[in-house]
Amino acid sequence: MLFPASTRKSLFRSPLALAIAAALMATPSVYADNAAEVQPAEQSESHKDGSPAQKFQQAQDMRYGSALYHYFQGNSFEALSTLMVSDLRGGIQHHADNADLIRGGISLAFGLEHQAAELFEKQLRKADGEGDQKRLSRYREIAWLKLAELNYRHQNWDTAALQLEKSGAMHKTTLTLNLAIRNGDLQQARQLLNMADLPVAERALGHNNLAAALARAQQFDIAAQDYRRAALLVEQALSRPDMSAEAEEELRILRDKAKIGAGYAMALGGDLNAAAEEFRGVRLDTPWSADALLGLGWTSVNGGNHQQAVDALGYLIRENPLSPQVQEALLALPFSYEQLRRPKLALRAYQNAERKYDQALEDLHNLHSATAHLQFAEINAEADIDLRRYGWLEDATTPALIRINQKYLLQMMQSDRLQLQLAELRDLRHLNRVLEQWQQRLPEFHTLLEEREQRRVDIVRQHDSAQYDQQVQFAEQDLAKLQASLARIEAEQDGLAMLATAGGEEAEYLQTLRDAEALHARLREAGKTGNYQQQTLARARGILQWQASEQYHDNLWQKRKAIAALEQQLSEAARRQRKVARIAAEAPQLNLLAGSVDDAGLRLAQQRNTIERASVAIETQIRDDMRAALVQATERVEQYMAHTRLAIARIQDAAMQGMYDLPPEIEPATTESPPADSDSQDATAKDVTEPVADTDDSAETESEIATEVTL
Amino acid sequence: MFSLRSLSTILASLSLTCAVTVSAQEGDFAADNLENLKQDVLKLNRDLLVLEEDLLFPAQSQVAVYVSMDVGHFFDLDSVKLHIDNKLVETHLYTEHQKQALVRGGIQPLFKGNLKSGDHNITAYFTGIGPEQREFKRAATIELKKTDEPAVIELRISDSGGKQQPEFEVIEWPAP
Repeated sequence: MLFPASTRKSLFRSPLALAIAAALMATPSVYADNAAEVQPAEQSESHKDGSPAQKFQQAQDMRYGSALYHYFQGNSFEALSTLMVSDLRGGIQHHADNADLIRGGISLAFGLEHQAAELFEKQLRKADGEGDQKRLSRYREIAWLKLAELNYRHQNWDTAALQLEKSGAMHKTTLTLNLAIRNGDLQQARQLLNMADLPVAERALGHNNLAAALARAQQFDIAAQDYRRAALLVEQALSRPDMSAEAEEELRILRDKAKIGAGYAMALGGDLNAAAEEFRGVRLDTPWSADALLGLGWTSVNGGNHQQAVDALGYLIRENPLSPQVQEALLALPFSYEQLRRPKLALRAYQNAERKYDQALEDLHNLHSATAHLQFAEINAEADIDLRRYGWLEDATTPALIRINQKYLLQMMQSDRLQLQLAELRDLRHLNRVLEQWQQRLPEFHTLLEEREQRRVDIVRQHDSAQYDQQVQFAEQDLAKLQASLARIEAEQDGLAMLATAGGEEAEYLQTLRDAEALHARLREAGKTGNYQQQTLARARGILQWQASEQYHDNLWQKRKAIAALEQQLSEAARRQRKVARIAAEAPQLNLLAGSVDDAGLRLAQQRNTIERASVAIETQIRDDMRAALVQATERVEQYMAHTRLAIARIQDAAMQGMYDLPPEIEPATTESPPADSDSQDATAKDVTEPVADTDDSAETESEIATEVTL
Repeated sequence: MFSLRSLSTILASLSLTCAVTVSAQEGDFAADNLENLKQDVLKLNRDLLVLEEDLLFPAQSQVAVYVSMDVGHFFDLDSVKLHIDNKLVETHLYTEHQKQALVRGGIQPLFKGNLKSGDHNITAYFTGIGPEQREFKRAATIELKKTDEPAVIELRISDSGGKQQPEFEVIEWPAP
């Protein structure tokens, strides 16, 4: 039977997943509430579907924002990793008032319940003086509520109740009601439900839960009233025009469940007609219509309306695979034929049932043998993102063998236990994949480290060369000389000395003059000089002194510039020396990094082994559970088979004794007539039992049956 | 012969109570062990991420670019192209989930790389659907003076209520 995707999802979404969804939804709502307080003016804007537009506050910390970016896409692992890296890099600078709450929510989404509890408790320990009081108070309430939900999951009822009370959200959650039901105090549960401020879907679910508890306590009349109340709430809500398609579907599911529950409660309470009416209100194109049809069948049988029973059971058998409901209907249908005094049809139906049970037993046997080879879906990189997007809310991939044979294993498929096991298995596969990718990258890290080490060695070697040291030494000597010379010239205002050090044409002239003066002094001692030569030399010295005084400041500036350049060069050399020293000191750091890479390699191998062992353990559990479910299914079918064979023997015996010759044929029953419009989405079980044309053209007489049986 | 014998069983199975408790059975892999294993893997992943960052993007040369979106009523983001010194270094096409994550306050780590100390030009080109469902393409730029500290750049898309237009900014954050 094929169903729309939304229906399928609703079918397989377990209560566990719903609870986790509630926990997850709360985390963004914290964020939304936060934003609402900051910018309340834009709250009135609306989306297309009529719901108020949500306002969100932008994160004020890049790493925190990145974690949220991953989390909002359902990548809890990446979100937590980002937050953990952030812890090592200085932590989250902003959002201190709710960071633990957010991290707790993400941890919960990744199945880290203990860590989540610790973080929620940490949130509660925050001092009153920290941050905005109103917001902090709201965060505390949420933290208490999440802790209560966690303790409820761990069956710590009293602790959960206490924490729920502290949360201040007692009337805003169905958890209060569930706790009262758990304690068996149905009176209090009713009061709480009446006082609760809940959305219509949750209120309807609350009535259904309460009704189920009442039915278990044998209070069928009151239970039926609560089921009907739930259905009525849904009817009223569905009449509103602004409902989204998804919300409508959710409500319709709740209505169907309420009607089925009401039908069974009424049947057990003895009101068979009302029960049949409730069963007729259930939609046919749903996976749970089999429960309604079977209920309608049995109610009709017990109410003596065998024709209605035949119609309902016949439709159930014809339109559904060999599920437990159909297995039971296969036995109930011929019984109805017998009540209608149609022994031949009854015999055929029993024989048909026997064949089907045979087939079922063979299928179950084969399935049992195949259990050892049950294959679990491998992670597909692309699909994996979608599967993890909504964490545990998204259906885990059920192994194909179980999915194909869901008619025998539906109860197992719908169980929280299997869904949780598959979700854990999926998480483990994801972790293994992450570690595998890291393992592939480790050689690259080794290469990078080797390159850095090589570069470091080259630089240090270059720095350590004698040539470089000599160059620096010469530069330092030059600088010292220059500084001393300049100090002396400045002190003595010695323009000619400055001219001499400036270089150029003038310096050459000065040198020539000094050589000439020295020569002239030697010649004068020998008495070989005249006045003209002395005057010429004096004139030349005068000219050069004039030029020296003219160029003194310019030359002084040039000298200072040269000294500054030299100092700069030496400073650069010193900086380079420091850098090289740092690089040289990197050796231990690089060794540390290399050690970390080696250590990571060991940890990777170790953790992959642990993941492998955990995966095998969970797979073994699933296989064992599957075997147990198959044994249970086999035992049930064998019982049906025994009943069927007994009935066949009884009819054959009666035929042989001629007992079936006596009664006249009453109005023939319709067994194979389809409902008026079975494809219609709103087709209900009522359509199955509407009067239809008689198509049974059997002309055989009971004596012919007897003959056939005898033969 | 037949009665409503199966009704009680079915009724019990119909219970919609949020009994979300899942009891472990003997021989099951302990939930505590599983949680410890997950935490160990998270720690190892963290250490490897830090190691990778230290090796590939040392603090002295690191530059990280993030994308954020405030509100997003006037702009439906399709893609971002990032140029550093006129060279395309990153391009990203957004999925619906990624856009929603941005609108809800998440910040996307777009690019991480290395830059030498000195002056650099960082330009981002945003394309998408703007007001009145028109194709929209804008650029925003910043002159970055890279020091020995890591540089953090935010590409911020916000709504300008007055202009009824989206605004695009490139903002340099203080080094972490």
